[in-house]
Amino acid sequence: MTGAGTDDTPCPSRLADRLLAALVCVREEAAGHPADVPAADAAARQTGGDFARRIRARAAALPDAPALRKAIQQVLGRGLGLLLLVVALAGFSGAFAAAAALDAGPPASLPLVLLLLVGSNLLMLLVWLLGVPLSRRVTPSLGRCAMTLWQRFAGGRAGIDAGDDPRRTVLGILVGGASGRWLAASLGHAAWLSFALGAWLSLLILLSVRAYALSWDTTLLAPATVAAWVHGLSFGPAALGAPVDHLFAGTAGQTVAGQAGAQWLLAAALAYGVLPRLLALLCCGGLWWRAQARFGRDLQRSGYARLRRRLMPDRVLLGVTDAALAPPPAAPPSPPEAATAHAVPWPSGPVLGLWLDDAGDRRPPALPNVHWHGLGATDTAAARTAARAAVAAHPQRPVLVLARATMSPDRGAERFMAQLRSLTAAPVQLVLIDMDRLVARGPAPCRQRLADWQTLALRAGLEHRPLQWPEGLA
Amino acid sequence: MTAEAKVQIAVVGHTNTGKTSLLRTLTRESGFGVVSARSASTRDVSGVALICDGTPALALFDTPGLEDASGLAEALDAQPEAADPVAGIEQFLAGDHGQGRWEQEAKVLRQLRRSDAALYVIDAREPVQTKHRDELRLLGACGRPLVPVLNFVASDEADPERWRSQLARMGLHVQASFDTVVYDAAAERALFDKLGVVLDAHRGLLQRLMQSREAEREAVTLAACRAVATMLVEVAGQRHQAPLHVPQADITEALRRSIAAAEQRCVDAVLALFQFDLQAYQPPELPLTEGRWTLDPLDPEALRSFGIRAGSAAATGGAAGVAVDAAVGGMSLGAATVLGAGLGAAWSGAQTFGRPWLDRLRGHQQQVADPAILALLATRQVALLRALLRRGHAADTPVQMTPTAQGWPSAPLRDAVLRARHRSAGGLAATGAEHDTAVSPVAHQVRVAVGAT
Repeated sequence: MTGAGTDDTPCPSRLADRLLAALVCVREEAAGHPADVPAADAAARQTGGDFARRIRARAAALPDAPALRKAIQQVLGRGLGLLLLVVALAGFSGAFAAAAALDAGPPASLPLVLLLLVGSNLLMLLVWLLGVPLSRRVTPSLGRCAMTLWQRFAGGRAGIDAGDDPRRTVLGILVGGASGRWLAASLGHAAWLSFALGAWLSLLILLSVRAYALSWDTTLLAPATVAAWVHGLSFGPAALGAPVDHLFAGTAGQTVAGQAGAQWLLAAALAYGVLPRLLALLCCGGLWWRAQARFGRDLQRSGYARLRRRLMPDRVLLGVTDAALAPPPAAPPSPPEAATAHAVPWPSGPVLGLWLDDAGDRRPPALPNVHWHGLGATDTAAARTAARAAVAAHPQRPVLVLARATMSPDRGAERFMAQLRSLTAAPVQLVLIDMDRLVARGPAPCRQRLADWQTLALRAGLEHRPLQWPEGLA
Repeated sequence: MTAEAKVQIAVVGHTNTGKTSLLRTLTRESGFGVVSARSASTRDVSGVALICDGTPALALFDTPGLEDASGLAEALDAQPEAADPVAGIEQFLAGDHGQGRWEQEAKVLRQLRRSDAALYVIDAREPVQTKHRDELRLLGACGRPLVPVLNFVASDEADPERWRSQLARMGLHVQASFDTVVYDAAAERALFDKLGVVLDAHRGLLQRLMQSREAEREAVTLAACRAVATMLVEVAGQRHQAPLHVPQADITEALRRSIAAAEQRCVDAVLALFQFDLQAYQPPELPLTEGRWTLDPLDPEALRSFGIRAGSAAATGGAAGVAVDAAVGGMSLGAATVLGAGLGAAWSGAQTFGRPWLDRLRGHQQQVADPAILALLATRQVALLRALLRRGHAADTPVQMTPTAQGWPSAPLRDAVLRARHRSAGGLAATGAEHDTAVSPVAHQVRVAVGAT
């Protein structure tokens, strides 16, 4: 019960660790989010190992972990006290029952003694065994009653009624699920084992220090029938070395059980009362041990799962590895409202038209009084050189730059338009087409894209002309 | 940490094609970088390393968009080292980058030279342009493998086939499609597989990384299903009690608030598990107009619960009686056993059917959530999980859902929840038996209803 153990051999300190992790999980689930304690997260990552181990390390590193540990120790300590109390009461009860059964004579009836001390024990064990398949659904039971007492005993009335008391949560963890099921069963078996041991010790002492008249006789059954029963039940005492021959001696019409009968009774109480309960206790205790090992390992619970990214990060940010040298160019101030209202009109007559990118076979849009002189697509260095030469050759002709509204305005386009602007004295304007496709992407991207085009046109020095705002976006 | 990552990948492309969005979705990091509809929102090179088996395995670097590749390509063509493209790039990087004119492009090329390969992100909604060819020629001159990634392929405007054809003409036959807004696990696996093709020496590492990420995603999905199941069982087991004089509307309102809070907690947990913004989804108001007085006595689930409880309670009561008999030396002749069994059955029946009426006699009334409310909660949360499993971390619009189905997502889920209702009646212990016996079957059915990830 002391010291640290390996993962395969849980010990109280490990149980306390797991309870602490489960307690923190319940608390954080109730709060809706994990507590933000970077130091605890860092300690958990430093610990390494699997996710469950890191969860336990984080719980242990939380600022209030000592207080929570104290509550856990309190619950466990009082639980142990309650267990001792139950065991003591059951032991006294067994001793009292044995004494009462022996004093029911004279002569004391061996079948009655056996039935009371072993029969009820075996019957309860049988009932429990039959109930094991249903045990997931069974709510009330002897062990549950004991655990309810534990809750009262460990938390106190005020503690139990206070919803945020960690002791209440610890109890909930211990008495819930598979742990609670096997803990309740273990408590029941422990009590019955104590009952059987108390009865056996009482029989041993009383039969050693007093002379009892013991009889095999019953009112209804013939001596031969009783003998057949006793013979049938003798394999247990025989296995323990008790004499099973010459058990019956007739005296004055009675079937007296002598010293051999007393030895047989002690062996039978041991074989059928103590050993089955001991076996059941070991099994249930082992199953509880296995169940409690899962505290803090139910990693699908959101209280744990939400910690995964913190404690076992699947990525690490590397930060900026090559920073921008200069801040982004500032947008020129927007023209005042008056300028917007009196923007340059559409040009008329011969107009140089060019596409910023490859428009395929598309023709320029029809504009009133505009006679297009198409320069084609300017999406290559050679095409742009040719376009610049054409613009420079006709410095009086207005230039209309056609761009798809969905195209990303970039520095290459801005530089090219700025070059065009510097080559001609006539107006250079930007015309966006395919507005319907931009509008289809939603109001926010549409508004943003139009603003970007407007900014780019202003930075390139183009004549201001409000771009073709769709209805409802202006 | 950068040096520790075994594989370094640069994410490059024209401006505003979704490079940062791709990184957000691949890394599940919705806060990475700046995502905007405007161009040139990324101006630095920044990275994130994906961890596999506790060590950084793959570093991804977000780069500024290429904005004037044509101009730079023309300038490089004019250099004397044009015959050796890599030497030309190195000389350009060692220089003043055209007096700062191509500073942004220089960052891209420098990062690509440092990396093992590059993902060239393409906005598949855009037509294939000469500028794209210039960009690919420029990037190809860095001497690193390029894997084109077609983004926004789920859009109606996208023309991925045309892109694939054009890329193949340029010798880029290893291509991938990946929509950063609509997540597709198969597309992500295909992307890593394509990287493995061009980085044969690291194929095993990339496969392990992918397996690790898939296992993690399944663990997150299971945890989210568990959170939904816990909420459903908690709500199903809620009993709101009040004195008789309290108006029914007040109890209904308390029930509504309680259910809404439970659902919001669940939504918060689910969004946090998937690492989405907690504001991404707000559950609408519950159409809760009235609760229900008590369990329907004709409800088969109630009857089943009664049968189970009566049997077990009778056995337990009888067993307790035998213990009494033993303690008094058997003098009660088993009467306590019979009495205990009867009391046990009566106690269980009273718990199930008589308790509400006893409550009324004692001056209390109580309400529970109607099965229709549970159906709505289940339908909504399953729809949310399905939506989140298909949502990329680059999506910046709230999750919109208007569940139209009035029934349950599936009949087995309905049965599991209604069965759990009786086990969790009176409150679900935070860690107790109900988590094993009530929540787990419901979580399993939620996982089945959500479907493949």
